[in-house]
Amino acid sequence: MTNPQDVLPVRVTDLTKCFGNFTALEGVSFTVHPGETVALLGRNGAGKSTLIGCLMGFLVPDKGSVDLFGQNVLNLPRELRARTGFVPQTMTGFGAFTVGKLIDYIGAFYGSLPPVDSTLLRWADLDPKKLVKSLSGGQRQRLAILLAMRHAPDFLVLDEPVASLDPHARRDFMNLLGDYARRTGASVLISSHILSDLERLCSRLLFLRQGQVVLDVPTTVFRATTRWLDHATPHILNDLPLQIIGQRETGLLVHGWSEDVMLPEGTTVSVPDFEDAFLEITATQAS
Amino acid sequence: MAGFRLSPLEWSDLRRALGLYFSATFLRSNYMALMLVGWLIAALCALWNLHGLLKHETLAQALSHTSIFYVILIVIFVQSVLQLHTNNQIGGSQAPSIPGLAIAEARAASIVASIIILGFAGLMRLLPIPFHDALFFILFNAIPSAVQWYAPPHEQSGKRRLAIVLFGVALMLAQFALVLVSDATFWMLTRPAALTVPASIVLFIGLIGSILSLPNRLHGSTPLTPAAHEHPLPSASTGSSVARSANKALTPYQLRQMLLAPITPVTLRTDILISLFVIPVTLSVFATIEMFLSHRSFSAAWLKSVGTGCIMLVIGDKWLLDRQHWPLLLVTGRFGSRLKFVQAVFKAKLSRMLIVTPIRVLSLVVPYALLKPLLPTTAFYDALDLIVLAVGMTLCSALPFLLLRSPAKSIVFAFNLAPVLLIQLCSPFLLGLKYAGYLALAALTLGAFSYLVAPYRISRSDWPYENE
Repeated sequence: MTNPQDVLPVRVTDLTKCFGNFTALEGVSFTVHPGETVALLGRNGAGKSTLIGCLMGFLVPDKGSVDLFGQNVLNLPRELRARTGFVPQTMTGFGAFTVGKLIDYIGAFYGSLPPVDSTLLRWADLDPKKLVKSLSGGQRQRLAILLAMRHAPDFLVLDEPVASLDPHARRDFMNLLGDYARRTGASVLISSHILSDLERLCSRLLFLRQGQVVLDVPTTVFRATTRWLDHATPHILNDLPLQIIGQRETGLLVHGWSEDVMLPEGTTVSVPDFEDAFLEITATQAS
Repeated sequence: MAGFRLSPLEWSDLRRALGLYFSATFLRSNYMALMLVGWLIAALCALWNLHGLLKHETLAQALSHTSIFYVILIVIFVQSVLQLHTNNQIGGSQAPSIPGLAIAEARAASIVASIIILGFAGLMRLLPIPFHDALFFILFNAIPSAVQWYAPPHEQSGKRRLAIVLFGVALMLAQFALVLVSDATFWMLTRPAALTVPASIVLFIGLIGSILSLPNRLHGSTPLTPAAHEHPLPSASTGSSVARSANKALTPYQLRQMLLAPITPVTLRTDILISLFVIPVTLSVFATIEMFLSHRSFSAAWLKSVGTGCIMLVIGDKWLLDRQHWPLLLVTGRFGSRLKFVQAVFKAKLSRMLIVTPIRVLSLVVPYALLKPLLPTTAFYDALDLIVLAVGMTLCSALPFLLLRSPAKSIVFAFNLAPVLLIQLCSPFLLGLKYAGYLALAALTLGAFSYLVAPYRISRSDWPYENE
């Protein structure tokens, strides 16, 4: 009998990945539930792309495992692979295809699909007769998104998908993605450096620092419980149920704050800007 | 073979992947395809020649008068063309996430490879050479390609892949040595069926198995940001060494030679060292192998492989094919306008060739003259002829730019590789000094013309940047 937990779209357990002497990921564990939209946040080199590579089964973990829909991703059967979609940072390959031929060619690998969703097609706004190699960077990215979404995947992974899109295309895409997730109940994992998009779209935030998960929290909880405590020092907070996630000259960034927490006298509380919070949480010691 | 027990969906995937070979997509994506036609013509000419000779000579005699090497080259080249084609699909950044794509491409490639191999063996049957011998000969020569197709399961790093590629190249060199300097071809084409049939079956299964291992490449060779894996952000402690490295001054000569990067070794010293030893060492290895295999004298064996030495005068030259670094260097402003930049590229190429080619030619002609033996004056003229041929032909690589505004990559590739094919055919060792001299003068004239005119054309054309 199948354990209900096994049908989670994603279960990552104690994942470690090294490249030579460099440890890109260390002991990463998390799950993604159906309908969740997870933002993967971290600095360049924090391990986001490596994590995505392991999630999609492109990279082989040194330790730990990645299960998609209850199956190890390295032995994922075709019917489960077909329930995933992937948008890379930049689309490469297939340069000699025309756009129309590539959409048909790739689409056919998913069996008989209905015609491409008209909203998606309108947003992509691509000439089907154009060669892929003649597309601009942004057009190519729109094609990559279209290819990843046309078969309506249950789990969609996007690795910095909007970096090369213009502001109109970016805003429209984020709306499209949000609608898609709500309409289909699909799970989404997205990595991006455009924090405002992630804060608006995602229901959960997963912060990576130097290959480790430093904070994994629902967005609403993050907004409600993350605060700057000025004039506070770490040892004063020892007995309080607060997690220190950042530090500046005048105080501490904490997670777990609520009106009920009794703070030392003189401590002032303020709501952090999402970008400031990101900078604090993901900052390395050297910086 | 399990790889061919297919579901209806997999059959349909395979049909689509096979269909690509008969579509414009195949030709558009494969810049080697044009060159394949050239090699194919050379191979068919060699077979036609062999066919004529076999009417009144024994196979051993006929082989000694035929460039059977072209047949071997076409076997290898066909595999390279297939590899490039499959790579264009499964090498894409989204490809690993598409269910069934990689195995469909691998199956299609294995079918096309099988048809070509069987077709070529069937063609050789008309010479007449027994089908089983021809098949064994072709499959034996496809071994290096089989190694290069192979992708181990769950490959963990690019290093292992590199090791496999290098092993394939080493096998190919060993194979060239064996075929060029020994009677291995005759041996392979005259074995009894009791040996060649089982051997061919093993080799065939090995080749097809290697091609079908292709989907393994999707694990480990991530299309994500490999550079980020191998070169994580510098920490505070390494930052200073990066700064030191960045501040290290390059000499003006080194700077100019960067125009020829990434193929040409940047330092002149490295290039000179390689040039001094590469030809004598390689030909000596070939000659030693032949001494053991066919009991010829060392000098006779060395002289026999002089054609290979000629190829090595111009091999590995892709200076007009790899141009992705041009925009990066142009925007430094160091080389001036677009025209001045391209002229600097040509100047750098010519200056490097004028230093390196005489060294390579002397390293070939001096031992040749001593072993033959040749009169010093004859050796001098032979050397001069080869220098002029090599320099002229290399500069002729720019000819497509005179004829077309933005020549296709396949055309530039063909012209970059053409000197390898032509130089041994035009060498004084094969044609004699008189005709080789005429050809050298023609190559020099054309080369000089393209040296002077091509930069103007290239400076007015589009340069590849971002994704070509």
